[in-house]
Amino acid sequence: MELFDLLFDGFTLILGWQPLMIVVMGVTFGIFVGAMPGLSPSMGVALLVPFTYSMDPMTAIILLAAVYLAADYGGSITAVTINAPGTPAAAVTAFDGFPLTQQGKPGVGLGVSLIASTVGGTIGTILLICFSGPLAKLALSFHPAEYFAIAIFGLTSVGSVGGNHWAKAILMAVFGLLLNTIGIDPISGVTRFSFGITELYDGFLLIPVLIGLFAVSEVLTQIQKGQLDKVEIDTSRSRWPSIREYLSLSPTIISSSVIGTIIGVFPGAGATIASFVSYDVSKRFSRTPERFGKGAPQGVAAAEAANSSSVGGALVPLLTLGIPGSASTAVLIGALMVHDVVPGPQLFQSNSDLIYGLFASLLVANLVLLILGIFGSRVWIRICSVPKPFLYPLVLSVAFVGSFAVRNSLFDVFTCFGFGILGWYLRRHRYPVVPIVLGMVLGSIVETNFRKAVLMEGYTVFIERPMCLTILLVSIGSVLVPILVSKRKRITS
Amino acid sequence: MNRRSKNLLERTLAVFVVLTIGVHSCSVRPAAAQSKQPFPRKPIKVVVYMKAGGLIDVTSRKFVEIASKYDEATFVVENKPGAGGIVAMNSVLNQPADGHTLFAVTKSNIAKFVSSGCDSAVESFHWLALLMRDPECIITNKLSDTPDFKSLVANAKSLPGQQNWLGPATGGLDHIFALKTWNALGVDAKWIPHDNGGQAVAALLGQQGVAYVGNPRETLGKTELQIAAVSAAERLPQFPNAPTLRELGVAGLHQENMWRGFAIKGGTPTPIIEWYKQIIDQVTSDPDWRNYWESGGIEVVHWQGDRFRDVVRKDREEFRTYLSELKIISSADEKRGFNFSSGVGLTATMVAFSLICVVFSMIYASIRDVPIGEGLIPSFIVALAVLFWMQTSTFPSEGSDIGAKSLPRIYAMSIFVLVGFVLLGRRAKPTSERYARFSSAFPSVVGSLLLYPLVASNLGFYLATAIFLVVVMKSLRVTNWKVTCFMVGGWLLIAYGFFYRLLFVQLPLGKLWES
Repeated sequence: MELFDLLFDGFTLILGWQPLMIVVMGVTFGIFVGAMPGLSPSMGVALLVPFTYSMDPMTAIILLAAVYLAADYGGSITAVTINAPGTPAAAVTAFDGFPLTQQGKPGVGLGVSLIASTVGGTIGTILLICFSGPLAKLALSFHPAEYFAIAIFGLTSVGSVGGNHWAKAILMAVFGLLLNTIGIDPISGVTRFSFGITELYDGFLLIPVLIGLFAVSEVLTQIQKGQLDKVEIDTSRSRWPSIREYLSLSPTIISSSVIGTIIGVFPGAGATIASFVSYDVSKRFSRTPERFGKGAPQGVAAAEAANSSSVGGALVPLLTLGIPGSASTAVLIGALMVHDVVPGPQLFQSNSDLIYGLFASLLVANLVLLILGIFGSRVWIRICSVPKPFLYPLVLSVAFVGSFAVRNSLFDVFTCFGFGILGWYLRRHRYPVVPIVLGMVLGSIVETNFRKAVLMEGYTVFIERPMCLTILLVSIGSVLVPILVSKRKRITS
Repeated sequence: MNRRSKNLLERTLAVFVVLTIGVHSCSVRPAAAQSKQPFPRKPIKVVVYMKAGGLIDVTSRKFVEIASKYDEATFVVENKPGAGGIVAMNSVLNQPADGHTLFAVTKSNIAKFVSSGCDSAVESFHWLALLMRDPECIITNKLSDTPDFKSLVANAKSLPGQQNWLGPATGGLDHIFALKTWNALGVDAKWIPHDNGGQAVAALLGQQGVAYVGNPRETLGKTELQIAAVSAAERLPQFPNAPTLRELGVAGLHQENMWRGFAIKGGTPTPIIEWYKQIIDQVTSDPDWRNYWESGGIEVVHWQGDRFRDVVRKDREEFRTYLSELKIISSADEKRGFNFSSGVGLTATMVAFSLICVVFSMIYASIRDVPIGEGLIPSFIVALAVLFWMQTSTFPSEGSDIGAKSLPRIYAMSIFVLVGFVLLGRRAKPTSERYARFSSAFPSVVGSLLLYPLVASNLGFYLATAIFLVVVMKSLRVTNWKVTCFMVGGWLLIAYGFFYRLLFVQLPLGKLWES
């Protein structure tokens, strides 16, 4: 009951025209930032920090949290409409979102991503409010061995995203893992495979690679095939999914929201991994797994719900322990410090109005996101109607700006276009490109946590820790069981 | 295309070129006019090597906020992350020595300069002001078996080489401090690096290690953590219960700290240096500035010029010693094998890479009876794997860690095996439409794509984009030039208004105009 009282007090603090305006501004700005490839949620939050100097801490944190929440959704807009994910996590949304657009159903993709985001964000916030303490303890109990095991589980989703030729899919995933080793080795400090190029000390950045492999390669493929006809938008039925379709997606949305919140709690895990894992889990438990990757609304729902709910998860270590759970929460910590607010467990006692005002504002921000998203989607759908001879060159120019914006470097633009040409060539010869992204996203988590675990407790740690062993066995099982089942089917048939 | 639309195209292109030159001209003022105006003549850029939110970023933004009380000069914080500060450093050194670019620098940057072989860059800067010193400290978990310094040392001596000490990157400032502490105590322990301090603190809270090396303010708000020992001459007033290493009988470690400050490109005129001295004096004397930092146990100072430079040189020598000991850099008499980064090395690498690609493509194509182009993909990946494997032979071997070379070699080996599966796997049935034909637009689009960044770096983003879009649309047989103008103009306006002005994305203006 005390929780409800505190939450009610939080709502009374933000239900005035000024705080609501702040939330609306933050959500609007966040959607734009997230939608633009190359502009990350953390960048959006950071850009507004100077504007918050003159604000009180409550208003400042409400604004920044709204930007963070909305930017994670914003990435799905360009992922669905032009296959240029605005954020790395939105890459998973693009797997099924863009095929829906290609089929003339952008409204389905945008509608599902919006509802899944809103519901996922709300569930993530509710879990944050109710279970922040236990979730924080869970995060602290995780050993590098368990992080390694989760990353291995994530890698097994290569089967979900790699298409029919397993050897090519695994080859691409390992290629991504190999590319991820470029740069300064985080454990030993040795510079690997940079060939004297300064920009490669941090390896290839994920966003330019994503934009290249997804957006640029898609444009090049379509231009190479000469497929420049206008996509006919399906207006024969309702542009948006019906209530019934949304309800049929509710188990996926709810389960993905829980997965996303839990994964978001672990510092360094983040929205991208949450999206991949929940996509894979949804596909494995789906009655129509063959539709995934070809425009399955369930795929979009799983990715977006996990993506948005991870925001609530990432706020758990920030608020309860004062530890950033993601790049965006690291900026939030900096912003709080500028306002002389020290995040940590004592904040719940000393600044409870700030905390519960924040919780209330997140719930309101999700509602604002829904309203703005419904109106905004009419505009986004029109983008899909732009004739391709105009759209494709603009997409390539957006790719330039997006990849440049990451660290104001033309090297990243060359990276983007280089991976774009590579992606085109791979697709032409029927090699899947998504496993490369999977390898690059999970590569550093796999390697650093494996080596940290071995450094701390030796090789036997992977067997001695029950949770790690369980996750590894589940991972192995999730790969072997489908293979054995399909072999058995072939034998019996 | 008919003559009329060709003329319209040429006119459209000409209009865009003129307009774009006009925009550039507005942002570039004549040198003569610039030199007569007092300093500063334009906003001062404070280049920060981390993403927003890091402590040096907060320091810079706080400085800018307080400096605005004392001068009307405009400061703009620009985040240029990458390579631990090398990208930011190069960005500052590539600017003219006119005082309009400051480098927000920390002691960690010096470590990075040394580990990357750029330590001579220290002499390219004028070390403007050391603003603050954050003492290093050893933090423990009150709930663990080693909650204080005495138990920590006893545990280290009873379990030699078994203790896990937590912190950020290997070879960084905190790691070096840990090494010095172990040497002073005569113990051995393991350094467990993390991506950042926050993750290391989380690991300490989860009791995955016995100690975290960081700064006192990192214990604020975390009731389970305490400062076991701090490197300071006397106890910090803000943390009176934290004993100093000197009190605990550890000699020689009373001045270990993380410092933060500003540097400026060497050769900046003396009057500009004096201007900065004055404004930094004002900021460092400001009560808001002092209270903000001192409440977290940070010592606010203002060490200028030679004094700061001497600190930097001393730190550089120290990092050279310890990073050689850690084998992160090779010592003068140690050879690491073939240098893949040198001019000769790079050329040889490219030649070997190309040869492997060609030979393997031919083998692949002959075995599978497919065009050579299809063999390029596995051969490219195999060549890369071979190249990476060869380079791992230059990496140092580690003690308890499996080393920097192990996983790349495992990945390379996996690639060899998987390519074998692909090579020997079932072939797709050849069809008449196995490979889609190339449209006539494709070569010109790809060519334009590759030239786009090159042209942008010389002529600027706006002009290059206008040319690129018009050329590509022409390749795609666009004939409605009014819509073209609208689309191109609209996108340039959005790029300028949203990205450049609102989001401060520094789109390239072009070397031609900047010179």
